[in-house]
Amino acid sequence: MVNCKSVEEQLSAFMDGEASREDCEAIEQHLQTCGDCRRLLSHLQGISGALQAAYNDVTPPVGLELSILRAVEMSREGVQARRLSALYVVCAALALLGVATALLSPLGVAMKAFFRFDVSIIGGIIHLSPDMGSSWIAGIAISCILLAGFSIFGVALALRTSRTEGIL
Amino acid sequence: MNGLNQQDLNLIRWARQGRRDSFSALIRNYQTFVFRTAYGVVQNRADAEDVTQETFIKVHQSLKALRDERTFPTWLARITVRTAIDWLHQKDKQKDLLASADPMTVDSGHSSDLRMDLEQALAALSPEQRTVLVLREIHGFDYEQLAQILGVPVGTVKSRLHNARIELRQLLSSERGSGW
Repeated sequence: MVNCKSVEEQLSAFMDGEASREDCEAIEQHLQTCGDCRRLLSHLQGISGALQAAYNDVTPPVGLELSILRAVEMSREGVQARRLSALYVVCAALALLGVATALLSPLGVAMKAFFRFDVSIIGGIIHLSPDMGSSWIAGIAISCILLAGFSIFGVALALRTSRTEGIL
Repeated sequence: MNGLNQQDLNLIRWARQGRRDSFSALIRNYQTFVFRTAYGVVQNRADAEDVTQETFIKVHQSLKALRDERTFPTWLARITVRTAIDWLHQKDKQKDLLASADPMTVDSGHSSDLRMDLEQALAALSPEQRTVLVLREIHGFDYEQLAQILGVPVGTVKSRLHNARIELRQLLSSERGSGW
């Protein structure tokens, strides 16, 4: 049995085309005889039309697209900065852990001895300098220049080879 | 809003792959949709602007998680609605919404009066009721899509929409007389 109350509850879905076929038929029959429900349907349709008309004029302000792009870019940079900071913290923690582990391990003890050995050698070379004059400094400088020359030549050669491969 | 053409699908696909020009085009194509939805919930232009910005930031951050490009409109609507409702909760705007509601447009005459009444009536509804009204009346989502957007059963969508319309009618009747 269809009455006004049950029709009113279904009227919204009926208006939106979301009521079942059976409900639609029952509502249509009821509407033919009930003025109150016809009026309610007309009001709901009127409100729907008024809402659509009002919101057609709601438009975003000029320049919103640009400010959204800026905000998205800033957010992206912020995310990257946070990720980079997290990476630095993790790397620093790992490095500290590595150094601590190395110093406490047998390898660390050997490294300490090796370090002391290096310091002794450097100290010995420095103390040798007055006896040998400046010839040893010139020898080291010439060796460095030769080494740098060979390195630059090697890098240039490698670059030329890779460029040739890129063209091919 | 219910149909996506091939151009939109391509834009979404390319934006997912990280192409900035495609994301800019998505903003251009969907900013009105997001702004209107946000305005429908928060009822204030300045807040709607902020919600629109925040929505697109979230879209940019999570676009890669979108599985099916064809669900983009409902996905975008869901993000917009959640952002707008969170915005209201955070700012506690609901309390003085009636005071801060902006006029939709500057107009004169009978239609302007109707709009003023409509705005006041909308502001008196709950954010959930405004949301379902805007999504249905302005964007034309069907009940199934509304259920997906709002995360509630279809039956709840049906009753919420019906209650919102009836309440809006009562509010307009008290403001404009029995003609509504």
